[in-house]
Amino acid sequence: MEIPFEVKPRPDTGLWNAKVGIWLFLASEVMLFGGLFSGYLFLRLGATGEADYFWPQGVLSVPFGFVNTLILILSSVFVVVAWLQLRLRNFGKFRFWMILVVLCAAIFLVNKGFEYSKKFNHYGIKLSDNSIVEGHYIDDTIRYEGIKEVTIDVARFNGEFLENVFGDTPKFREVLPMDAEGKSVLGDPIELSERELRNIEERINNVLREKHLSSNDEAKAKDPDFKAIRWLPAMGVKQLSFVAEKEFLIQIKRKKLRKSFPDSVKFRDQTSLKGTISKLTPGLYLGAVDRIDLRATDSKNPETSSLVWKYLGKESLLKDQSDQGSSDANHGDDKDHAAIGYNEDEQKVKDDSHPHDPKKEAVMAKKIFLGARENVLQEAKENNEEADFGEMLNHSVLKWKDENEGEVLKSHAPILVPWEDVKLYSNFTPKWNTYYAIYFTLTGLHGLHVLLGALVLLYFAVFGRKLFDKDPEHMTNRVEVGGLFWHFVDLVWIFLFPILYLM
Amino acid sequence: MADTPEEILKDMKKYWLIGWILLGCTVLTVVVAEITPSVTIGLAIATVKAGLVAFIFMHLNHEKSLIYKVLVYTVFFAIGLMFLTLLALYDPIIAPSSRSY
Repeated sequence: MEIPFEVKPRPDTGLWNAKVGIWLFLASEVMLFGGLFSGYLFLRLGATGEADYFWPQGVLSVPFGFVNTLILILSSVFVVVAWLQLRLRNFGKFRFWMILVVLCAAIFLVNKGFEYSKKFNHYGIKLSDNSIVEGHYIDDTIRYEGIKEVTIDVARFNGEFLENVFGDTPKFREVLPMDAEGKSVLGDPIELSERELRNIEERINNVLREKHLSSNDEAKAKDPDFKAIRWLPAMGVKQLSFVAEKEFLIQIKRKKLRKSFPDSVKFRDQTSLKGTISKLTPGLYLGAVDRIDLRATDSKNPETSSLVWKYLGKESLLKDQSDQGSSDANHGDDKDHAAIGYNEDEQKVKDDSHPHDPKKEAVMAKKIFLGARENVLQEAKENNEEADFGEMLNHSVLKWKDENEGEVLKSHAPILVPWEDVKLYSNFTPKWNTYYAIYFTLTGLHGLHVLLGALVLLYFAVFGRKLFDKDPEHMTNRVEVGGLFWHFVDLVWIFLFPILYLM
Repeated sequence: MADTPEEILKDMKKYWLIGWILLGCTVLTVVVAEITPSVTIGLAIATVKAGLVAFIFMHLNHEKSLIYKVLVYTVFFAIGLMFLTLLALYDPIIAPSSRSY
């Protein structure tokens, strides 16, 4: 079928159809990104510290974003050059420039991938006084000791807790209804499993059912008009309690738990265990702190009295045990690192290359942080102004030039935050804060546009020859439309770069 | 639009020039941000860059009126979107006096 006005302009609009089409599409794209930019504005204007939340600043690597901006701008030039080569009827050169565009897109996406993987492997902890520390090598292993009592939600039980028993799994005895004298009765010792639980559930439900049916029969015997109450599922057994034959312990990543209390723990399947947190896992451990942010700390002198200073420099106790094979505290579970290609080992070698002294590093981190305070005070004194600590309360403690000693200090201090002082912890995903929520939404959507745009342009470069030979003008128009989309993708990034990386 | 090879080659030079200007502007953005983290300046440079891309690379500087008509509506509503945030700042349910901004 012949599609009209693919090459020649339509008389009433003066445009060939695809051009009207792409501009209408781009208009809708402007609205799509506009909505997200508006969302960004909303989140940013709301992050005034009122709800103890300040907009994170300087958290993205500017060189990464800068290089990506240059790459996209170059690709935009390449795309118009490719189009002009088609207008000069030179397909070979068109193909060359178009392949360059696709290469630029590939480099952009790989760059982005590295940036994302870094985010997935870095963690933030919000302490109970709203201080924030960020860094890498998280270990959220938590161990509960002296567990005997287990309560199970029958419908949801999935055996999760059994997989996390540390050491031997004991046998369990079911807590049965009390006998006539009011004494508690225990069932026979069994190996607890999901299958075993289903058997118990069936047995109890059968008893309940028999009881129910016989009461129906009795009622009917007394009153012939009695309408039998039908079996209701809500009458089934909901919860079961078990007692272990001997005390046992569990060890699990905290984030896999539903809730944890000092004297009990609840799994995601609602199984709850009574036990105490082991002294070996008193808190959340972050192996290398990169940044401290005290802007939202409650105390009046956060620089000196924040909880961060109390816990900085404390090593994980499990770390010493790792020789005995109980846990590798420094690396944690590999599954924690969701991203592929994170050069954790490389980073680890880098971090271990200098002698590791947590106490000294903590002192240094504090010195670096408070050194900035001194600088602010001094500057304010020189300019006769009131000191503004806004910015200094949030910065990297990795490197700092000490003015007096003239050397670059380095610190990768660890921190061990007791569980009761952990308000929130997460890797840098939307869970951590709204900045990362809008960052991933905006850059993710933009990245998809880059990917799809590059695929279309690659198609033109690889399979365009046939159409070019048949109707070069038509091919030129197609490339122009693809190019317009590509420029739009570049245009969006031109705004994304400053608002996400620089401001 | 230029149609002769000479004119097309002239266009090519123009596009390269604009490309260099855009790269320069990007460097400028980063340098300015290092000196003073001003939102206004950053966005102003970004707007200039976006304008160059739209008017030169996407050749909006000589386009048919239908496209301008489409874009006038788009720009109007897109700018409108940015002001939606005001609805949150001046929330009619929570009295303005109880808010600090």
